[in-house]
Amino acid sequence: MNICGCLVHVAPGSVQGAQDAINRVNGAEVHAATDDGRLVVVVEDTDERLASETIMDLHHVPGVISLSLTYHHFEDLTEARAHDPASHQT
Amino acid sequence: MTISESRRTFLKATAAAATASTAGLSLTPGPADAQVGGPDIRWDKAPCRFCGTGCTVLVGTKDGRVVATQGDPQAEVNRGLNCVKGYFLSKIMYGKDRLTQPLLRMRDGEYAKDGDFEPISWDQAFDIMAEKWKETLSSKGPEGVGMFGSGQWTVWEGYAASKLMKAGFRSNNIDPNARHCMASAVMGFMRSFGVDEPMGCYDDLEAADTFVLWGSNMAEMHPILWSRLTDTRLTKKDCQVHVLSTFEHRSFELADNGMVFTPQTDLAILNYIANHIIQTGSVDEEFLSKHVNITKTAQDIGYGLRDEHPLQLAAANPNSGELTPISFNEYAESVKPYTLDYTAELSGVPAEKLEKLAQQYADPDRKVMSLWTMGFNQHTRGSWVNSLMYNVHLLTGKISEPGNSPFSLTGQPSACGTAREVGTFAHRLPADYVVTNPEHRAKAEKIWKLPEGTIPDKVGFHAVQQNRMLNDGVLNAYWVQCNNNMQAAPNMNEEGWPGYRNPDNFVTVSDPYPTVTAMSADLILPTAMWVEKEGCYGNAERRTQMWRQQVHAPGEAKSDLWQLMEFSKRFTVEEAWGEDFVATAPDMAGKTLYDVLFNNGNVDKFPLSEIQHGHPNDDANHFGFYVQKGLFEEYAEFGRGHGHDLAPFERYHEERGLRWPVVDGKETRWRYREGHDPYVEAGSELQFYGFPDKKAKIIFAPYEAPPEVPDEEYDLWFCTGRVLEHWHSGSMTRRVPELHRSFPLAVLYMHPDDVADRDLRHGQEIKIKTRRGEVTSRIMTKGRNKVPRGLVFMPWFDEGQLTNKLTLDATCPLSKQTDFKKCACKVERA
Repeated sequence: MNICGCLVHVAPGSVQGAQDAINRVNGAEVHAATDDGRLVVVVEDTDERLASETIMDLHHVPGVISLSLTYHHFEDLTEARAHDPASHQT
Repeated sequence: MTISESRRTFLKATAAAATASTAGLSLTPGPADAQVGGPDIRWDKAPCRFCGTGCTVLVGTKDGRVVATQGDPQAEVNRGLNCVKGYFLSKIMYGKDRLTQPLLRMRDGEYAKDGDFEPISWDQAFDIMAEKWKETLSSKGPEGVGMFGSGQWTVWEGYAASKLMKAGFRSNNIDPNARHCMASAVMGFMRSFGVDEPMGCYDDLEAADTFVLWGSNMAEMHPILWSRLTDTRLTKKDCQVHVLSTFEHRSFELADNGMVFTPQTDLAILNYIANHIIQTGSVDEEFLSKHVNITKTAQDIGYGLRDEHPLQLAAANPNSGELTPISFNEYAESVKPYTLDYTAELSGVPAEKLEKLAQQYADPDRKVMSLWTMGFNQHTRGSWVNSLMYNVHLLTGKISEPGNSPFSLTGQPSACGTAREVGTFAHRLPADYVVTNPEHRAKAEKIWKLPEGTIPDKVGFHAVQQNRMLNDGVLNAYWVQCNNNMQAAPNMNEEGWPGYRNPDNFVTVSDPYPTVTAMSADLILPTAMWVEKEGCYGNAERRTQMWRQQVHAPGEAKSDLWQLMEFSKRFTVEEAWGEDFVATAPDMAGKTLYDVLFNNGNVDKFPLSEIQHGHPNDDANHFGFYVQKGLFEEYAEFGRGHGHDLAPFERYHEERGLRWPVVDGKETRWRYREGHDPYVEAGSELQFYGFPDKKAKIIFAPYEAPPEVPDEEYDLWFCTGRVLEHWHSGSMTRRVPELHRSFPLAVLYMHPDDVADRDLRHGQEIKIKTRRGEVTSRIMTKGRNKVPRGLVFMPWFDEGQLTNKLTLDATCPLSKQTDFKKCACKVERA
């Protein structure tokens, strides 16, 4: 189980569009936005995509210039998942 | 709500709060710092294990295992941010194929070069290894043994390795993988300033008006520095970003002026800018006369190939770095041929774009930060191109002050701290001392309490030369630590692989994982990594930072430091130095290398009681003293009072790193500038004190063509590099499922028209061929990199597609760093 907090920089003029586009992505939620183009986005694993894959997708949302993670938690909550990363690890 | 659902909601709120606080935003009230203060997880700081940026992460440990990380809001470098690699980095320790015991190639219970790997004990491992090293020392002498180390070694590991090789085995055949990465930058600094490493720091990322990327894809390779640069670009009025590369990559998305140039013509572009500055009357003449000497370098110097290579034989001044003083007028005449028209024609960059770039450097009201990495350094004229960059900054006086900053970025976490500052190169000693200088050797012998003449004066084999000498059977006992050089070094088919598998040689590889290099060895030693040991790294802005051990290494894995020190116990000084030399120092007789190197009153000076309570320290407990502190304090003696001052050991455990020189407890942000650098004399404003006359050097060098260019048969430029998701050879990042899935296999980026011309298509399996080998890959015409016609780009992280079977082992003749960015290839249907 991965939960990531991301700080996303968006080009001025694209803030609303990028925010809407990110909110449409399954597994991503915009928690805050500023007028100068900074978004607080939380990304989590879904049944289809790992958080990391969603994050890579967010790089391609129109208007997104840079994306940094600020927080990552990967505790196993003992939920059986199709893409449990722990199955790849010891 | 089930427990896991409520926990999930809590964690999401924590993630949002942590991110918002980093960005200086407020959210509706939430459990902001609850996670950090949570009772079940112990949090502590550690620098990231990957690139040279030197971000600090907070590492959360629970039940002896790392379970969470977050960007450290207190870290000046990353201010609470981290890139995607940084966030998954705690998982690098938990790959399922982690090595936990030594493995030796064996047949019928005995070592056999062509045997299969079988587990053995550490005792057996050191028995066979010491036997082979002693055989070599007695038959070949110190030149027959060698070590290949790393810019990922901790400071004390690199220091112990250098001491073991240079003083223990009396061989300078030790070189780090930083040779592949930073050697040209080092040579540029030493030739232009007489002291290694940047004068500026990351604070320039907020202070500059214009940023110029020269052969650096910061958006993917240094994402945190890129986010700082992006922030400045978006918030500072009239800020500009200029990006130069041989293909279009992600950093172009922010570029006000993106330029794709023909490989190698960066040499000409920099001379054009110098010419533009002179022709427009933009030279800062006062600065120049007070602080700069002007020289030119020897030309036609070959390509660092084997001496018998036709291109070496054809060179007029092979490997020459000779500098000749010239007048300003002679310099102006030298750059005069690099006109706008000529340079635009040669480089393929439109004239108006070049002019726009040159104006940024020429305009006295613009503060300019130039940034570069492998595009400059992995270059057959890498030392030249680094100095050409400094020429431009010196002509205009745009240097050593906030925002005016020529800045060499690094690729490894301690390329600066360990490889360069400790001096684990074949020619270096700590703190910019060199083995060829008798006073420097004497200084090292005094600090090390060793007899005069212990350190040999001959420069050892550099990285590329080591593989050639293994291949030729000259270097026979060889130890590789903390890198994956079979995959990373050039021309694997003709040099690397035959070298390791030469029956005359015994090759030991220490690694946490069965990398390509480990599997090419005769003996594999399982190695502790990152927070499984106490460590110290130095980043690209001269910042030294430490971390404590957080967890134990799995199985019998041991740190590189433990391995080096334990191995030293296997040799008496008679065996290592020879009876004749011991006779000149009778008080050393009968001692082991461990006794004379590590039990010397310095390294074993600090008791175990000084170790931080509550944290393990397996290395210190094993040896019975605070080994990391003893090594650090002995090492720091080299630099204190010599421009490389480090703070006392404990201070680094308290701080998020400090930028050297640290004098009277204060770090230095801008070197050479009065008011910032304590080494600059009062009233002088600026002193480039690396040279006796305290002046820097402008070094003119011309454009010279690369050794291998596309022709009728091999008709494409072949360029290699990296992607965001993977770090270098992928030995760590490919074991993190999230990163592996994100970019599982290497591809070949190719222009759609080049694909169509060859009757190929996107996604098709193809063979890439050079004069040295072939590799199978797939074509990529979409995505993050847009290559121009005539050039293909391939990342080299994928051990299933060994890119370096294709590359040429041509190096900068001065720095000996390989040019991984250009040779000639062809692409055919598989």
